[in-house]
Amino acid sequence: MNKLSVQNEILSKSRLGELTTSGDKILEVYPFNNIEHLLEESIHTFSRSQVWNWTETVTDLEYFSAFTSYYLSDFGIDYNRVKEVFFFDGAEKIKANRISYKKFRRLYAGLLDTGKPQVYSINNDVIRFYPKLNKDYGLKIRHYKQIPVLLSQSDEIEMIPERYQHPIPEYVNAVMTAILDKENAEGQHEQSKRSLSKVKKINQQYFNKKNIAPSRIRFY
Amino acid sequence: MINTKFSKRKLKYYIDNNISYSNDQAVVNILLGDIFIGDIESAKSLADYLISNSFSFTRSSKIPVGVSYNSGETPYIKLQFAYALKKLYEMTGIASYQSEYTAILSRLNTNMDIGDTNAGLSSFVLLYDSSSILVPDFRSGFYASDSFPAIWYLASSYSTNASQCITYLKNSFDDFAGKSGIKLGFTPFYNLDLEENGTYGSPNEWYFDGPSGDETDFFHQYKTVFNLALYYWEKYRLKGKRDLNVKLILDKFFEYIIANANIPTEVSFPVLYAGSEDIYAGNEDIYAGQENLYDITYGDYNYKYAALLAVAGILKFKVDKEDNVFSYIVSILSTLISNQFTDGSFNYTSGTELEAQSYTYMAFAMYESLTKKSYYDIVNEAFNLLNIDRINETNRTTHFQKNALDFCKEQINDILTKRYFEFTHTETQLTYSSGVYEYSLDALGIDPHRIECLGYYNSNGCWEEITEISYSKLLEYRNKDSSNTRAPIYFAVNQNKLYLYYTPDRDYSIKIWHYKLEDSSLNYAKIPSLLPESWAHVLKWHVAKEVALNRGNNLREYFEIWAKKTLSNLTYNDAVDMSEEYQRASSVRWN
Repeated sequence: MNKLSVQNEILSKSRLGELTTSGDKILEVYPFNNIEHLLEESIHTFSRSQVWNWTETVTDLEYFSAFTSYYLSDFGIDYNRVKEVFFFDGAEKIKANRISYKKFRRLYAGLLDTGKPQVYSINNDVIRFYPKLNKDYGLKIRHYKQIPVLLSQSDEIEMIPERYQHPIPEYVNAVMTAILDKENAEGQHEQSKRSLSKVKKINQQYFNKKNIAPSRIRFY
Repeated sequence: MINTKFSKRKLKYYIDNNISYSNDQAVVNILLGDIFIGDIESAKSLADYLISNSFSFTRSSKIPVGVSYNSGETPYIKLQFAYALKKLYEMTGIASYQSEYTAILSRLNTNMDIGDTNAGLSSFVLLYDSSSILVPDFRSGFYASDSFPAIWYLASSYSTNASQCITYLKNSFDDFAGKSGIKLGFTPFYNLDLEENGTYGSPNEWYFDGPSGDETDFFHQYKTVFNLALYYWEKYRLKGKRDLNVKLILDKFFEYIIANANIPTEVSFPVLYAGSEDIYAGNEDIYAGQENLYDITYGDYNYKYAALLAVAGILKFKVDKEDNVFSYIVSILSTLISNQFTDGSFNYTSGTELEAQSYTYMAFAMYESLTKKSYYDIVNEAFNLLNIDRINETNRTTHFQKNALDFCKEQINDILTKRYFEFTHTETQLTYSSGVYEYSLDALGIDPHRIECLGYYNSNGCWEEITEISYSKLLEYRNKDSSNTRAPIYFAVNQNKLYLYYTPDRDYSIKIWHYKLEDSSLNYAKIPSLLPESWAHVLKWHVAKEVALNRGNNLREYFEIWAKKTLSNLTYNDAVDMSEEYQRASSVRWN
C-alpha cells in the first residue's frame, strides 16, 4: 500500500469520506488540518509504540579511512535503536562492547591506538570506536529501523508487513470516531467509551505487544 | 525515497580537502548546504573564516556590483552569502552575522541603484572592447540568473527589491514564452537603461545573447529556477502563503521538464539543452529541438545542472507537495548517488569539478532537510493541529494573552530543562590566552547549571579531568598561590563565571561538556537547531497542548482524548516520563 491508498481507505471508512480532503473541510470535524497529517501521526505512533521485530535489521558500517567517528544517521540508523555492533573474524562473530560516552571519553577518546574495535560508544548521532579502525573490519550494526516518513503520495509503506497495513486505517478511524463522538454530544460518554474500547481492541488485536524491547534499548 | 547512505559526509570530506577558498561559488554552496541540513557548527566555522578572510567588498564603490571573472567577486554570490549569514543569524542569534549581512545588503542596495530604479537587480559590468581588452568600468544590464530575491525578501527593509526582482523574472519568463511559444524558461539578459551603457544593444529589451557570451549555457535557466524556488519557499515558510506569480512559473517549468526529459540510466541527466544555433537563429525556433536533451557530451556541467535542479525541485516540493516533482527529484539524486566514488567524490573531471560537487552537496543537504524539523517547524505544526495561523507577530493579539513567540519559547525550554536530554549535549572548547583563568559562561553560551564536566587530553592522549570545587575553596587556593601557572586541576563556577586553578601555562585545549538550552533570542524566524524526529514529535504535542490550554477553548478536550487516552500519549507528562527513562538509561551506561 502506498500513502495515497491508505489515505483513501481512511476516507472511505470514516465520516471524512463525505468530505473533501481539503484542510478546511476536515477541520470542521477534526483537529487535524488534513488527512496527511492524520496519517503521519498514526504511523509515527504505530512506529514508536513498541519494538517491532520486523524492523530489526543489520547495516554495514562502510569503512572510510579518513573518519575516526561515524554518524549513524548517514547509514539510516537511529542512534536510540542500536542493539549491537559486531564483525566477523573468519567464521567467528566478534561483538564490540558498548560503554557510555562518559566512560569512553575518560578512558579511550584521546588515544591513538588502532586495530580491531573492542569497545564503542554512542553519543547522540556519533559512534566512536577504540581502538580506532585502521582497516575495513566489515563492521555491522544490528538495529531497529524507524518507519520512514512518507513524503510522497506514492511512497510505499514498505517497511510495515502487509498484515499490519490494513489495520492502520481502521485504527485511525476508530480513534477518530471516539473524538467525533466526544465532540458532538455531552451525554455520549458511553459511546465514546465504546469507541475507545474499539481502539483498545484494535490495539490488542493488531498491535500486540509480545515483542519486548531488549533491556538496553530505550525509545524516545 | 532515496538512500543517501554515506554520500553527503564523504562528499563533504572530499570537498573540504580539495577546495580552494577562491572558488567563491563552491564555498557559498557548501555554506548553504550546511545551513539547509542544520549543521550549525560547520556553517559557523566556514562563515567565520569567510568573514575574516576578505569575503567582503574590497573594490571601489563605482564597480562593486559587477560580474568579474578576474576578481571572483560577483553580486550574485555576495547576495547568496548574505542570505547564508541571515539564516545563520536566525539559527544562532549571533549579532556579528547580522551586522555582516546588513552591511552587504546596504552596500549592494546602494550600488545597484545609482541614479536609476533598479535596486535589487545585479547588473553586469564585464565587457570587452573592440580590441578584446577588458573594460570593467561598465554596467550594461541584468541577468535573470543573477537575481536573488530571497535575501531581499528576508531583509524586510528591502522588500521592494524583492518585488522588483520578481517582476523582472516574470518578465523574463513571459518574454521567453512570447518568443519561443513555450512556457519553460527565461530570456537570460535584460539591457538596462543605465547611464554607462552606451554601446550594448537597445536599452530596455530582453536578449538571448547578452554580453557574457555564455547565454546558451542552460545553467542560466537552472540558476534562475533555483533563485525563484528559494524565494518561493522562504515566503511560504514565513507567511504560509504562496506567491502565485512565482508558482505559475515554477509549475510550468517543472511540468515541461518532467514531461519532456527522460530519466537516463547512465551518467547523463535530464537537462534540457539549448544549442546556440537555436538561440541565435531567431525567435521562431528557440528550443525547437526539444528532443535534444542534455547528455554526457556536454561534460561535467550536467551534474551541476542536475544538482541545482534537484534543490529547486525540493524547495518547490516543500511548499506544494507534488508527487511528480518529488519522484523526478528522487530519480535525479539516485542517479547522482549511484555515481559516487569511494572517496566521496563524483565523476567530475573538468575545471568546474568542485563547483559541481558543491552543488551536489547542497542537493543532498536539501533532500535530508525534508525529514528534519526545526523548532520553528515544530511550533507551526503544533499551531496547525489547533488550526491557528503560522507563528508570527499577529498571533500575539489574536490567540494569546502574551506574545506567541515568548509563549512557545517558554514551552520549548520548559521541556528541555526537565532533564538532560542527550540531543542537547554538546562540547565547547575554551580559548587559551596567557594568564587567563576566568571565563564568562554567558559569552560561551553555557548555562552554569548545566555543566557536566571539564577536562582535556594530555600529550599521551589520556583524559585529564578538572575537578569541580566550590568557589570559596578556589579563592582560598588562589590566595595562597595565585602566580603559579601549570595544568589546571580544579574549576569553580560562580554566577556566570568559570574559574580555573591553576592558571593554564599553555593551551591545553580544555573542553567543557554541557547541556545546551535554547537562548533567549528566539524570534519568529529563528531555527535554533534540528531535533531528532522522535523528540520533534513529543515537542509538537507538548506545545500544542499548552497552547490549547492557554487559549482555554474546547480544543483542550480533543487533546485530552487524543493525546492521553488514545493514540500516542505524547503529552507533557509523557515527555517527562521518557526523559526519566533516559536518565535511568544514562546513569546505567555511565557507571
